[in-house]
Amino acid sequence: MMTRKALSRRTMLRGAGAAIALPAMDAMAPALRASQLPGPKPVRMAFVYVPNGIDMRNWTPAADGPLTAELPRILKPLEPFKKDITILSNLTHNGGRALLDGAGDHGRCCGGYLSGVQPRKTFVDIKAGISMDQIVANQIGSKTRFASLELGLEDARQAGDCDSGYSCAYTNNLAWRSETQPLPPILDPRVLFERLFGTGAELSPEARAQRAKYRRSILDFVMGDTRKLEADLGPTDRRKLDEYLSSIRSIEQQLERAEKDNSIINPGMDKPYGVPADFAEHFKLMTNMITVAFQADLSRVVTFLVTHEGTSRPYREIGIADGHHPLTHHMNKPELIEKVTQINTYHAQQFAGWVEKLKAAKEGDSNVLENSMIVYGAGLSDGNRHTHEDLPTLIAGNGGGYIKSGRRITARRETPMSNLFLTMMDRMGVQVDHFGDATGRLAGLDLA
Amino acid sequence: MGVVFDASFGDSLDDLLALSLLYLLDSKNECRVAAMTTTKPNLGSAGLYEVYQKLYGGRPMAIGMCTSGQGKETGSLLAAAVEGQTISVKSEIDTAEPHGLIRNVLQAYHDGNAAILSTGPGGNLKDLLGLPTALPVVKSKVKVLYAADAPANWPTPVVKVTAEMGAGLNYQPKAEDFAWAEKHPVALALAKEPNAKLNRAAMVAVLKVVRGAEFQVTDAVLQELVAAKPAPRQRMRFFGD
Repeated sequence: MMTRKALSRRTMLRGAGAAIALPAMDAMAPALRASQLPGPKPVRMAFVYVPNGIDMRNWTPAADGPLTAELPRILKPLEPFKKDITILSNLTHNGGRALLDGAGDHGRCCGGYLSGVQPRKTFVDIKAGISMDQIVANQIGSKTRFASLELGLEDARQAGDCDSGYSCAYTNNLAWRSETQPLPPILDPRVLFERLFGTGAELSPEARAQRAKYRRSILDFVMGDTRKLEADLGPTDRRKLDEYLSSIRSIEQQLERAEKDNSIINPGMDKPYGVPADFAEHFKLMTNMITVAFQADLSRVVTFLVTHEGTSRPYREIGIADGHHPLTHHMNKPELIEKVTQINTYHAQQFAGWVEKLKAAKEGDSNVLENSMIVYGAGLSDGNRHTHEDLPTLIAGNGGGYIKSGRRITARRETPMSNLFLTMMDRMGVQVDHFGDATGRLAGLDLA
Repeated sequence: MGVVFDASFGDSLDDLLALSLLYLLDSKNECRVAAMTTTKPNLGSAGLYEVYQKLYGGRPMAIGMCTSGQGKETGSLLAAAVEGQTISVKSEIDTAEPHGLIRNVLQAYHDGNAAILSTGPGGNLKDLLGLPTALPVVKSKVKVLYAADAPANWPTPVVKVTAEMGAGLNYQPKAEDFAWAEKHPVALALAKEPNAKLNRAAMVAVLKVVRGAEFQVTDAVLQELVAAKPAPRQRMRFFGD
């Protein structure tokens, strides 16, 4: 009988300045623990945060239970994935409320979104709480190359007063390593690409430009390793490897296009070297890379601050020249509400594109989406009134067969968002007795 | 002063009168009804709180309702008080967990500027102390707890609410005193149960909580306040209201 040595889960394709991790393959099966292939896959977790609340009239489905009716307007882009999502209602962040601290809802709602605490009102000695993604990253991060990844799309300062006395650190970061240390998101797709597939050396923009001039695909650098590996793989794994490397090449091409466009388009502001001028393209690039990172088990924990809380970014690409935040204070004028709804829908459309990718990324007999919990939501519900209850929240994916999706679950009023986080931490294999302002686990999320 | 009102609401006429009085004092800006919670796992009980909130023009708020334990049944007094009322509390999801709700509302008060009045079983208060983050909040915010059944480990001053608190008082409410409202729960309850038992302790407790322990409660005071029509509210309006 012929036996073949199992491929290590940690195998990398290496070349000059490049190190590409591999997705889970059949050839790795004997090398993997029983908890991995071909049985249950690692569960991934991500948070996609959109700012300034959401028009809830066009977000919330009419009824609880199975999502049988057509989804509301904002969620319409997710219609093809209705069976893969779970919409949660009535979750609340009490720490986002003023309590005794007056104005500053944008600062509070984002600064405490993943920690369930009320951030200290200051722009000097900042203090919030360790975010749940970092609690998870601390416990399971050693299993992957990156304990967590923090991403965003909008350049934003990290200091100064961004909302009525609240530091910009609160409005512009989701992940907090400690009570006083936020983790600023990576905005530049090229930086993320190099972080994921490079060897870790930081390149200056000049050095990057120099390299770009002579750039070949990163796949060229690892060609030797790729050929060697292919020779040892069966036909299924060869196809899987080919698809995976093609997706990396496609990201590279997207990056190259974006960088080329950037040299032509003057966005009228300083932009990092590799940031595409087009919002949708930027979103796609970043999420494509997260998909690859999930496939290759480079990280299981991601936070993604789409744009920062209180942003006044216009959306000219969909014909909206007004700033997002001013629009949300619409004074009930239908034409302004309409624009807010369009922005909300545009965001959901980008998110749906990512969900589609995750679902298409096969993983044994399931897919990456099934083995993930991708939370999409905001820290405010009504952006006009700055309300912190019934926060718009949905989870895409099943958390590895844990979440019975295709439903709307309405919790009791005032149920802390921290209850959801506690439940998700359980699913990530991280046991904590208490978190934030949780009053317990979130009932009704599991398959039971 | 913010006052959390916790009761097995709907089981006794005393509680209905006490909340009428508390809301009247709220409308006169002597206090704020901070939260209303019931130890009675009964949607009618929670719904009755909602009736009060609307009737007295109080701020819309989530209502805390215990979902387990005793007192599920709808007694004749509660049934009468909610009959014909418009109530949006239809299921458990329209209510909140009492202990989490109380903790949350207390956080919005300055230190020592909140009180709790609990006339029923102490289950909600025990659950409150069981929340890991609640103890420091209770310690700093709650000036005093008036309770019929206070948890043994309650961390701030406690005044026991007993029937003796109402001793010597003879105030007797009449349905017509509440005629300023088309369907006042007390009027409806009295119409159905004119001889409902009354010990007046909860009303005394309300006045002690709001006006201070030294305040002398007399029949005249109760006669003047309990059934009075609330003062019109001057409320701040927001865009979107």
